[in-house]
Amino acid sequence: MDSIISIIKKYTLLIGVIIAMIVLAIVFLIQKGDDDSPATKDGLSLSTNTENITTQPATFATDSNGNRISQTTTTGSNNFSPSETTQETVTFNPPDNTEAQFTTVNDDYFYDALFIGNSRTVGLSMFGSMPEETTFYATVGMNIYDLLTSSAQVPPEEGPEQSFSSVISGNQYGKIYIMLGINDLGTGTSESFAEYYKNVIDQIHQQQPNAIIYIQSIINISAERDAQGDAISNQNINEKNALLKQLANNDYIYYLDINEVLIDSNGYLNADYTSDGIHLGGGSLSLWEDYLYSHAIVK
Amino acid sequence: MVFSSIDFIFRFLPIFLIGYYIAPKGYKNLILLIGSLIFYAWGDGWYTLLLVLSVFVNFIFGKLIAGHGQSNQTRKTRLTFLWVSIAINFGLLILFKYTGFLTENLNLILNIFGGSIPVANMHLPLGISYFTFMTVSYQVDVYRREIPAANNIVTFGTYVTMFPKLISGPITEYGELLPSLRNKNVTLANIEEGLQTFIIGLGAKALLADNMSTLWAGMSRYGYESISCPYAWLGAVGYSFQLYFDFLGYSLMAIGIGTMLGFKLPKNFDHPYASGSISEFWRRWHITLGRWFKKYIYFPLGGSRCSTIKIVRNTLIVWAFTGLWHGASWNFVLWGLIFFALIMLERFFLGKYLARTRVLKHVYVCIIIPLTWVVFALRDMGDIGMYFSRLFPFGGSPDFITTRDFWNALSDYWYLLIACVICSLPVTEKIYQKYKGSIVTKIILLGIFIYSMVVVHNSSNNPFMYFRF
Repeated sequence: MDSIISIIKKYTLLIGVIIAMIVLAIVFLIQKGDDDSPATKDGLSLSTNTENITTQPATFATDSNGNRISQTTTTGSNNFSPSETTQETVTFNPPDNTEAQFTTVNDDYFYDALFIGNSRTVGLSMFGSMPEETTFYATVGMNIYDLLTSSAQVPPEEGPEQSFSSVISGNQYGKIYIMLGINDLGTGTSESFAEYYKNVIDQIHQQQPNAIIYIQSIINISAERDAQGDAISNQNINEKNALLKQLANNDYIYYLDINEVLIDSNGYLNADYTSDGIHLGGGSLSLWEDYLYSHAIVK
Repeated sequence: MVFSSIDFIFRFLPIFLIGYYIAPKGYKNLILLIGSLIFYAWGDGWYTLLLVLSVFVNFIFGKLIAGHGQSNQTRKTRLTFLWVSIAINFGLLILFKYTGFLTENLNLILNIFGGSIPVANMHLPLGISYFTFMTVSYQVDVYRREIPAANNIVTFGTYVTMFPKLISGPITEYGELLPSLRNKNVTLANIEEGLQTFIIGLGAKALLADNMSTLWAGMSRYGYESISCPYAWLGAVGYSFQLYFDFLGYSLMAIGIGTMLGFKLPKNFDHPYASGSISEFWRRWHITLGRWFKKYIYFPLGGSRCSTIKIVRNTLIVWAFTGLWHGASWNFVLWGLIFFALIMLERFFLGKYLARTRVLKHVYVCIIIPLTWVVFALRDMGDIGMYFSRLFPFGGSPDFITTRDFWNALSDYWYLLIACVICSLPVTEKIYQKYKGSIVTKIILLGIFIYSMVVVHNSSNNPFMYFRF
């Protein structure tokens, strides 16, 4: 008996590690079995590792209230049939002939504005000079599919964690600015993206019937970033922007083509405005802000 | 396959160890050789053939260089063989690691005359910078008759390919591994001790370095133009810790596995951030690399026992090569030259003043070293310039910069920074050494192991930073 105890004492770590490894291996295997929906939305969080971006078709079902809910299905390969997602046609708003009448506004216009976005909007909040009163709901890696059930630090990166539903139901906003999509480039098709975007806008509109909803175009990427040849491409962005533009009804949904002031003659994000080809540097945010100040709807 | 990955710890290592331990004494080297080649092939596929080729070529040249007699004629022949083998080893290293860099720069010159040649981007075989240094050290030592040439290709192959040290060091010499290659003691006590070292390394990598790495990764998101002065300093300090614990962790894991296999691998770090000068820092950071440069380049050139001008020349050569060894890019050359300048400054001027201070010399090291890592980390000269203009904002900084980014980051990382500082101090290791054998220490280490594995399992593995070599 004594000899066993002395052996255990002498080789505690070896025995402990062997037991721990067996237990961990079993736990990891069980988790693996449970985990049939790997996360794929991590497009831009820390490393832009393109291998992590898997293409995933998204299909939608309708719940009892008539709201679309997301049902993401995963396939092992990139081969999926587009028809799977486009069969259910997107009911876009009827084309309207009235051009949006934009005017230039002052700081106070943004006092009751809510900005929704990903790391790009986090940058606007941190380095931009929007009024203190403006609310920002943005976090790194935010995507259209996760928005409604997400939570984020408000203000970004410094405030307390708040759920999106509490932010959207807690206050009435006059304007809601959305810029999402760069994290969705590897997910589903452009049609499924626009369709879900529409769904998100509908939900927001239900909660905020008096708010003007601005869809900000997904900002293009630089030529250098585009050349990497992954899902993060301008072609992909342009395709999605074209569909987003159609979501505008110029009644309470407006489309803002921010790219107008940011891209060069070839359609790439001007390399002077960015370091990583995706995010605007602190010195270039004023271009975005000036665009917002000069493209406001006043009713 | 990094040591802190699930694949390595749950698949490769246990299977390999069982095979290694049940093999009879005379076959352990063979098992280790086969295991190492599988390990390499797992990471770099067909490039394993390059490694095998290197083993064969160096084995044959070792024998040629050893020669037989001692007459002048054979001495000359031996020297010729030595130079040929060095040319082959460095030729391969240059071909795979520096072709792209050389052609790019050649194009800059050719562009003036309107010409250009295609830039060849070669795949960098895993660990080639490390195993090339090990084979060259073998050839030189054989030539100097410090060691006998290997008689057995398995023994020699095991020395070169041994997986714990193959792809990221420590850079070992044949002589120091020879006793264990010939006759090793694999005991349970060794395994227990090796495991202990391995887990400390695993913790350094998985809990400190990996968590710290997000701070540096986040710095570049909005461009270095957007960071405030204190945030820039925080980032430089964070990166310094990230790099240290990454590499220290890797080295400790290598040494720990070595111990478990009955090998004694040399120490690679000795609390470098607690140094009192930059020269001392380099005697305590990546020790086996400094040792290599000293033994095979600095001393043969005359070392410090020659005229001042030659000392300066020798130091310059060593640091230019040290810079280039770390990467084929101009920022590494600049980084090496900065160390050359600092070490010369200390040698001829600053050193005697620093030695008289107790606190100031540490403050000096703690300020200078993070700055050098910034040059190391940023490949683009424009980025380096921008970053330094934020570190030293004498020209003023734009309005959009606020110190908010610093306070945000500090609130996220303060606990990690404190942990890193504590783990960098020599006194922490002293305490550990004192209570190393106690049951409490072992239970804490077991906890670190379990926690690290859970963390690693839950996050994707970022490869060791030094793996690009």
